[in-house]
Amino acid sequence: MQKERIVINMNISDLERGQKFRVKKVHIAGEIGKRLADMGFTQGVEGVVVRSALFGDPIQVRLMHYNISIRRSEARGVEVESLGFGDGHGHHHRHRHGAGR
Amino acid sequence: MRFKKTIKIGLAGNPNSGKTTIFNALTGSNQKVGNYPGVTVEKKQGSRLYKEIEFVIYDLPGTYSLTAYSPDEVVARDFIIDEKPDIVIDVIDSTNLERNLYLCLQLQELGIPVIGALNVMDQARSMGLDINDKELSSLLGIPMVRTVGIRNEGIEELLDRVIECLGRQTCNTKMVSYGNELEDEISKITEVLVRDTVFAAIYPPRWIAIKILEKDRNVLGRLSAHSEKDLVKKISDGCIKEIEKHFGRDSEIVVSEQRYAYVHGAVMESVKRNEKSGAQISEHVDRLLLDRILGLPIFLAVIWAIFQITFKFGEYPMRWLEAFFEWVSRYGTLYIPQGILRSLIVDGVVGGIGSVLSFVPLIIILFFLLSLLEDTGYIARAAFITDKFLHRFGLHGQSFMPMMLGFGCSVPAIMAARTLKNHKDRILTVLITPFMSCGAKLPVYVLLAAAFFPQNAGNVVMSVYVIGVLLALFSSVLLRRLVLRGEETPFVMELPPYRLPTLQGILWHVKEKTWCYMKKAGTVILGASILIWAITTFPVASGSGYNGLEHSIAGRLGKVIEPAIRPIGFDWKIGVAALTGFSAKEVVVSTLGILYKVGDEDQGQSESLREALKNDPGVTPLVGYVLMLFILIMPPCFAALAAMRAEIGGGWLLFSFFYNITLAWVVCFLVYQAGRIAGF
Repeated sequence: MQKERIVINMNISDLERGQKFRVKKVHIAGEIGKRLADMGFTQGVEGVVVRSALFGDPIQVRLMHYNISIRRSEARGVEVESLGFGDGHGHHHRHRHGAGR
Repeated sequence: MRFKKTIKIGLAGNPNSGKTTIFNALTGSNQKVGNYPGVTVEKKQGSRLYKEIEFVIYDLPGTYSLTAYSPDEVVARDFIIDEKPDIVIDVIDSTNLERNLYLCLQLQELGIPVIGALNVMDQARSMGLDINDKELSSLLGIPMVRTVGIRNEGIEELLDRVIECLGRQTCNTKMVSYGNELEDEISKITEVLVRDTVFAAIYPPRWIAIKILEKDRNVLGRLSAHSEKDLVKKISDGCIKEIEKHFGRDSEIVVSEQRYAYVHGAVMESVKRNEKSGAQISEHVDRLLLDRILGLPIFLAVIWAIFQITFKFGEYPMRWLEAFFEWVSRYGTLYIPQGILRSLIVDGVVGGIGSVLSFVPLIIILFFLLSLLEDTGYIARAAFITDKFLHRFGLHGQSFMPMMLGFGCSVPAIMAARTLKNHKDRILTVLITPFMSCGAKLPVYVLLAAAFFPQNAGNVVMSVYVIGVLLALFSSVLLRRLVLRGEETPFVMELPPYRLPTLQGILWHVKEKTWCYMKKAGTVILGASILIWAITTFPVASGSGYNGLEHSIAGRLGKVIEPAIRPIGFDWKIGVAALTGFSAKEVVVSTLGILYKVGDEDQGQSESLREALKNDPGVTPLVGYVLMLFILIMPPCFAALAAMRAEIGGGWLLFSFFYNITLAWVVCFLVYQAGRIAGF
């Protein structure tokens, strides 16, 4: 179903602690993908990787002003673009959104 | 009498939105303040008389969305669709507007008027959020009222708005716009749906159309009632294909994204953020509690503390209760003439009630502590820390707490599995909890280990504990493969901000848990105790003790099943002892006492019983060890079985019973036969 193949396929699991990101696309279908989208992992939303648990899994992400924990396997299904490392937490704003045509 | 009007309200909202505080403020009754999903699994109901109108309020489960994936979400939306309340109040956490409004818009699509309660406004303000509720209200077409649930603020305004909203016919003036592409497809499907007027009267066509695009299996199932279901299917398949082609992603994701986009737009126009610099308090706490290195030791210390406090402090009231029931028994023995009646009352009824009530102090203390952890938000952190390890075995991070508690007592452990939101995860956790050796199994282990392995008693007992844990993990993997298969459930879990729990909230929760246990488990345990009493008493033989037991139903049953337990090394006596272990594991010791004719039963440490066991040629050390394993794996006591039935239902209870019996036999068989070959 994917028309445009994205060259650099970066996902949340690739990010490091403190790295900010903008969501591009959720690649998992079914319950997990829908749950991720319902919790706000939708195109254009920005977040930051806060930390990971012992042995690197699961990952704590701050998204839309709240904290959420996802497994690495789930994080791998969320394609993002990196926004680099910023100072402190919680400074992220949305710039574009899908609808509104 | 004047005509009294009744207004039926459904109370919805995200988990951790303070929905329960609003419910309490509305109804005056005090309830648990929810902190993780699944607290309000059953719908609660309350009422309030205001301005001569009776408001009946139904507390729906806290949810993030209204998909078909989660039972909570299905319960919430089915209530609104099937019971058609007059109005829905959606409790919105103002500090987290986007995710909360996402639910609010879905509620509105169900065709019932919705009012938003912008809750915890005080916290939002202190976070630097300036919410223009009038603007938000007009943008979304949903009336918004500012509230602070724990301080009772905005509650009457909320009810006033309900009256006002129902007075006017046009309360919710707008619907989400999903953008032109999606709206075109939605109207195509809606057009076919409205052709069946009966169907359209029950299910709002627009909602059904959106759910079709979200590939909601529950709604797709309900479509079979539509008179033109084939046409609907054909049209919707085409629409889904169209959307997926246009957006390049799954249509269910597209719907979520467009809905969020709508929310983001509204929030951007109505909320000003003067964000305070620096991390919040919660993040500071998390830096310590979720620290990569310190997180685990802190978590283990918390578990250890809960364990110590529960079982150390619980011991005193337990002992008082035991002393009390002993006194009642003695009193009964004095005043009731000897015979069956005395035996029934003293041994059956008093003994049964005594064993039910002896768990109550444990439950009270344990659930006090657990509620404290829940309400502060720590339970979610505990799941975060332990998920990696447990997930390997098909378990969930939140399975850890019940499993640990299982070392103390299976009853509260099984009840604690309710923190698991997913049905399958909960069933699995409950099924494996009995393999964690509970406190009542210890006296049996100690007796047998001391009798047969005096040099190595500690290590032998330890090995049984370890085998229990290994069997729990093994069973988890096995059951996941065989009976609890299916798509992996998401771990995606909110880490709610730490909040100060209220004493009232915790006490209410403790009261509810304890009462639930006494009501549900109490009757079953009492009945079972009387049953065990009956089969060890009837038919009444001339002698008591050994003779009585040998000729009782239980004794005969032991002899009947002897061929089945021979391969695992047991004779009928051991069989009877194990049989009585169903009522409670510590009873095994006293049954053995009677069977080996040692005077005072109930003496786990009694040397005479140890000697008697050692001197029985039929019971080798190998048999002793196998018996320990059997006690470990066999179905748990009646109290635990009753708790199981209450939590996962009768079907799974039966499954668990036969699974444990089978596993116990197989493991004991292998160990016994291997041991014999090895020459033990």
